[in-house]
Amino acid sequence: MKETVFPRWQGALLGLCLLADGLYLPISGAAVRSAAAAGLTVFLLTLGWLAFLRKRNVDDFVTLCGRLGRAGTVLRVAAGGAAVIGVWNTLTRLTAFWQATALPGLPRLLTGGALLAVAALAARRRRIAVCMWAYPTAWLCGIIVLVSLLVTLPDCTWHNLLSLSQPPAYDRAAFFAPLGMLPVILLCQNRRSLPSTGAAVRGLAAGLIGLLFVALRALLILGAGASVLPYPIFSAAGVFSVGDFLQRGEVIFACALVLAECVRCAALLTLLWPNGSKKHVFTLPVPLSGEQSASS
Amino acid sequence: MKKLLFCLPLLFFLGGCGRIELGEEAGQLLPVSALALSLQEDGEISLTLESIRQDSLDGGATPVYLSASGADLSSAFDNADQMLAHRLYLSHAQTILISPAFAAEQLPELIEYLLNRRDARLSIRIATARDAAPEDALRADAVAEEIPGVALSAMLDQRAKEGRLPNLPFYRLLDRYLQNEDFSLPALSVSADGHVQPNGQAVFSGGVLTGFVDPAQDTKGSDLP
Repeated sequence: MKETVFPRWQGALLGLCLLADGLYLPISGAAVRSAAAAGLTVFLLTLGWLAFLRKRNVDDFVTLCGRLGRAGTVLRVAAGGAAVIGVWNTLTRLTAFWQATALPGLPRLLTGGALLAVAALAARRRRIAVCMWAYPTAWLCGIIVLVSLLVTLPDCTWHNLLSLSQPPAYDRAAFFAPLGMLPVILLCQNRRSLPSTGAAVRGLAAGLIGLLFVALRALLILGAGASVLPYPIFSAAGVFSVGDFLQRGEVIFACALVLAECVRCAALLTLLWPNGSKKHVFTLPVPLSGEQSASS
Repeated sequence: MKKLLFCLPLLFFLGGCGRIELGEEAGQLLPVSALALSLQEDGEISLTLESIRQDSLDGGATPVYLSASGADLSSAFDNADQMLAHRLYLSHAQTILISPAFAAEQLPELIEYLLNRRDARLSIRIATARDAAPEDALRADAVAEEIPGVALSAMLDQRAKEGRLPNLPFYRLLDRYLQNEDFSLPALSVSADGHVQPNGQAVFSGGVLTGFVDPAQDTKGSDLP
């Protein structure tokens, strides 16, 4: 039986991977514009990749590489290299974030090892399990981000919207950060029996809207102050508090984005380790009716 | 499912609830509820901190005060730390009272210091003491609360919401300061019966205190410190 990734799982994975950049984006008018442009680029590339799969009548990247012979092997090695870079990028930036905020006393090697262990535990159950768990995780993260946005709405200074039109035109860091999720696109399937373009559009749109809204919130709350804070999106989530009881709202908010980072790291590891651990192969108990009809 | 529920509290650890510094646990931190800063005649910075001592679980919290001084903000805080077995923790601090002289000369240093402290909140409010030492305003009896610093913070929040005092928590102050815009901070004084009361606004231009505005005035006053 073929490994089937449901379209909505796939859409959730794509949305989460886009949202995972939320902790590190620099904030300015140019940065928000550049992040939007990068998100749209990811959006279009994903749609292009799914259309390509459909046109070539292949299920996914692995099948495509199998058909291409040696060229396919080269492609898989290249994808593996991109995945290694992506995982390394996640490890360096997330451990730096932890050291600067929550866990300054712990060595980055230790926190990075813990993150890698969590991601590897998920990745050993292969792509299908990572995608399946991405779905409820995306809902959880989405709800947390939405609540965080709503409670900080009164703290926004709407006058700061004017800075969206200010120069410079482009922010390099904000543009290239979301592009780091591009290798994840290679995990997408697009079967004739199970078209996934619609779910991918919904997932990416949700991730992009989430990313842009948290960036915009940071711009509206912090204004020029965002330029002197190392993690402005994280800091902006923390201005809401209820007296002395509910403080550090940014902690809950960061949980959502850290979960998204873990999912992205696990997804990238499945590119490197597509077969996972044989002991933990996850398969659907019942084949899809669409599959049956397609095979018959 | 049980395994998942067991793992749920770990989420908070992921985001930073478990603030672990080696050799530093929650019990070794002394939460500060409010602080006062003034510039002495010899150029030293005087720091007064208010903390809350919880004598029993059923309430009975009492404020405790600690004073220290230093050549700059960093050394004043270090000196205060040296007097304790704990480390000062600013995460619960909601108000900073500063003297006019401090506001005139040390506001940029205060902003930089707060930015460099991981435990300082962006929502902290800074107010200027007028016609009174900030230490005295901080220690002044509160009417409806047991802790003067907490009462002060509640009063500043409420008046800011009503639009009767400038609504300028630290993150907005930072924005205005970095854009080199004029801004105002609440001015507070001590009434004849020993309570803190709002007393106009302290006006800053280019990050420097230029004067005070009386409550009834609409324009900048010339009451220079």
